[in-house]
Amino acid sequence: MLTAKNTQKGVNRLKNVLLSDKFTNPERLNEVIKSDILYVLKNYMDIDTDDIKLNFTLNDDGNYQLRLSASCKRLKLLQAIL
Amino acid sequence: MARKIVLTSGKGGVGKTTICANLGATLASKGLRVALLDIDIGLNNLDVVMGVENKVVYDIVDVISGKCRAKQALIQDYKYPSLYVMPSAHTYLKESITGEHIKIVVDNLAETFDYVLIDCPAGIDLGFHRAVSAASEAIVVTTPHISAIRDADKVFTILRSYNLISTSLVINRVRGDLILEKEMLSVDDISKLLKEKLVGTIPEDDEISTMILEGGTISRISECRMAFDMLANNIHFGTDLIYDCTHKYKGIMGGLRRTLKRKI
Repeated sequence: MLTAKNTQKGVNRLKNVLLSDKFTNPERLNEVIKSDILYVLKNYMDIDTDDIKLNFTLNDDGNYQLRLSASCKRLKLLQAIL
Repeated sequence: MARKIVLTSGKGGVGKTTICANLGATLASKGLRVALLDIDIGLNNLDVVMGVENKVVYDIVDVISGKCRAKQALIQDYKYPSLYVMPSAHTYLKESITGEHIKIVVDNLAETFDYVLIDCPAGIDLGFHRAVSAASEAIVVTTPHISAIRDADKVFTILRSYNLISTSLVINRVRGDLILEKEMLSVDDISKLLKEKLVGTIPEDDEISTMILEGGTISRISECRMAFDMLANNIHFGTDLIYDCTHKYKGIMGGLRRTLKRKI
């Protein structure tokens, strides 16, 4: 029976498992998030890739703390945002 | 100077040894000089898969401990003369073999071969690290099952802390019929989630079982030969062609094949 449901369930399970594996080690998650954010931001500005700092830590109360700081040289044409 | 590639997976039983043997054979069939190394100390099986278990005189531990020269431990394949196998020790030894030892053997072989393929043991402990530290490139093998993919993902993360020239992915034991029935993750699903360079997919083929039973590598007329050929070309020439495992199961004949495979 051709249902997309089976593989979709499987893909979601796998996605959750892969993400939760990364979450148990916040240091490694750094790289993943950094590259994703960089991908979005570079549509709007010229970012110095060496200067981007991402701090991702796990607090004692179990919550995650994310701190991002980046310096950019110039903004790109605002037409991209419209 | 050879390309030193380690075949690893994390999860056991996904086909590292089989792929190591057949990829090596396919590269050798193109005239390249290929050396296969079994680094699974104590659980050697590359020699059995290749069908050369009766020709083993020296193994990698003999080479490391200086009992023989590397050349003496290499067994030439009977089908492809430019393909050589260095078997692993058949007992787990108390002497400590380090990554440095393996690296020296690999670098030594790299001088006279075009490719050194290192068959890594399963897991991510000492055996794994020993094998990876001797290589400059890595191929992670997985099957389309969530358990194997999860382990492969962890292995990729660990490999990032090594200074490897490249890491790539091979998906083995792909059931084209199950993918079309939506009962197995597709190659597309997997490569999107793992976000690593896919260099090959190998279909599930009964031919492989027969091959291991008899000992030796796939013959020139095998079905999965094309898949291994595309994999070898991707690795050697840098092409980007992936074997379509669902092709056989599409269309009228394909539908018939799928029906026959389903439980009646």
